[in-house]
Amino acid sequence: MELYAFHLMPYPNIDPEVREKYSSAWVVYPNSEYDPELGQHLYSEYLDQLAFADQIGFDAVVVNEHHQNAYGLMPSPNIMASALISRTQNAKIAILGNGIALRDNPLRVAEEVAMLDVMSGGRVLSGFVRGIGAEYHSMGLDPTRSRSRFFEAHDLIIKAWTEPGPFEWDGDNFQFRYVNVWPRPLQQPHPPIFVPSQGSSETLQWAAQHRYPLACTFVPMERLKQFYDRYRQYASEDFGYEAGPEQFGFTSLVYVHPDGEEAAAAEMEPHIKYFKERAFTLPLPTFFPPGYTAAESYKTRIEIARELANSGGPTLTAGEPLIGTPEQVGERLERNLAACGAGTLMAQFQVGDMPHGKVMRSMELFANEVMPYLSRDKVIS
Amino acid sequence: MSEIFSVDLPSQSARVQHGGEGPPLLLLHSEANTSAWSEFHECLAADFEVFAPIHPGFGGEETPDWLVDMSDLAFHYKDLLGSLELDRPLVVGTSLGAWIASDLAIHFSSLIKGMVLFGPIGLRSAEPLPDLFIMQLPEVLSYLANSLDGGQVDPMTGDAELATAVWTDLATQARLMWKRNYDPRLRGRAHHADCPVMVAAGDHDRLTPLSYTEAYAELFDASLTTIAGAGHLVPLDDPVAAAALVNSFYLTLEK
Repeated sequence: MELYAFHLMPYPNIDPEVREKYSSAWVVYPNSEYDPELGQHLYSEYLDQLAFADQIGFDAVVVNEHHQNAYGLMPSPNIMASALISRTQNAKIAILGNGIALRDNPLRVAEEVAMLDVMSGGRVLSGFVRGIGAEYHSMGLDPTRSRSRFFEAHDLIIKAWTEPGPFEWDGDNFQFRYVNVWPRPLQQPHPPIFVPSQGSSETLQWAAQHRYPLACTFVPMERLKQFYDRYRQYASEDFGYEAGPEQFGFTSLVYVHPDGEEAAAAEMEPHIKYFKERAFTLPLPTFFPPGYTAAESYKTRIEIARELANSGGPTLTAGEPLIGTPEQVGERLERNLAACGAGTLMAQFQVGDMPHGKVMRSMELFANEVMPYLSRDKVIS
Repeated sequence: MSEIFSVDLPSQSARVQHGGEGPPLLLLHSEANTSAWSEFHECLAADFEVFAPIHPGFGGEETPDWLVDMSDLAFHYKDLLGSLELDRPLVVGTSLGAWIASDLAIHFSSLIKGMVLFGPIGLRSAEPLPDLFIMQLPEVLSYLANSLDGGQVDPMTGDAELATAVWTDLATQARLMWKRNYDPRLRGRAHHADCPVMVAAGDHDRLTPLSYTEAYAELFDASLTTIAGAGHLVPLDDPVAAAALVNSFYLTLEK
């Protein structure tokens, strides 16, 4: 079992009327609402939380990339990864991930991740993402090119890391007369790659083909099982191997409280509400702009949007809620992993406007009263 | 009534709606699932042989890989005119279709008799035009025409199939105009459209202000007519008046 500490680094003071006044906490939510002095404290606290995860024995700390929004304040995940190198000793630094389709020059990602890998002594996990639809609005990028750019950027970066330069790259989206990335990554042949998935067959098959672990964020358990089953099926039927639990990870909110589930849930409720009603204020055309997916996937997305509207927003929990006493959290955590055959839990301790002290108390309890009892070496299947 | 047939072109197979008798008329449709044979087509078919192709990547088709920018459509439609052996048809385009028509005329004006542009787009505007790609689908329709029912295409409460049809049309439009909803070269090239041009706009147009349409008309040395009560997609909002305008324009053309 692997435990990662996942963080979004959200902005905690989003206007309570963000939906009515701005319709979105993304792309068009005015940056005059951002207070840089508060921002400095936030970065400091959030980095402390991830540094603490390293101290208490988490296998990795997770950063990610989102642009022009109050949901997550990491437009450059590589800057965060860099800040974490000196604050952590043992944990891997999982960049989940670089939005490689968003870059005019994907070689910049090859360079930066290689730098991070060398600087960290080979502690980088390199996630690659397309970027959600909102990023295409923010970056002025035609979403109909997203898939093509993602796959080509991936091929280019992997080749830049694994084949001697200089070589020429002449692709549909990117052209370089000289590809010759200095430095090269420390891990050979390159840092491990992770990809997320929203369940499209193309992505699942591609990930299975490359044996890239799926790291899914905010996907409910029923869908996780479907995604993982299809991945396992592609692996065994198309690519001739059995995909193990180490190839599957997912996020779940964790909150540990000595007084039990009811008290824990009551304390988390306002922060979950904040996440759903403010930070995740993301209209469908911003989330899924025209051309971001195939028409069939858009129909599925309409179904999901309708389900979410009925259930009050996206779920932060996959499977049984990891909100409760240490014993409850520990047992459920193992059951959740077993339920879908995943090996990695990406635990999210901070959500929405949850204050630092509350996060740290929960993490301490997790460290002292949950982690010692987890069967960390057990392969869950 | 119309038939629909397919023509194999070098780019791809083109689906063409066809009906009516008279001089040939190439009708280039507007955005957001508005390509179907409609009352406007019927009115035109009373006086013309109407060829109304569905643009590549529209009408439920995924955005084709070969489509990079507007000039690809000019060449696609040049090939269609050749394949159908149309002798200098009148070209009528609405909104996005008017932009395609303008590009066709700029590249190949000798192949067409003249063109009528309803609510044309494609020019750089002093004020940015509304961003159709970030709007909720009902709002998109409200910017395009008064007569369209936005509620039907609301993904949350409307018809998911119809919503998807509008969305996939917008996808191909995104390929053409996500980064720029205009062609910076249009201004410098408009004089190559060496044919008579008429521009028309609804006086209730929410997408392009009158000053924008005036600039377009001036650029193409065209007359400008406004249609009372109509929104941006004039042929949808007032098909009878729009068809009458096409007719009267045709009568002014030299034989």
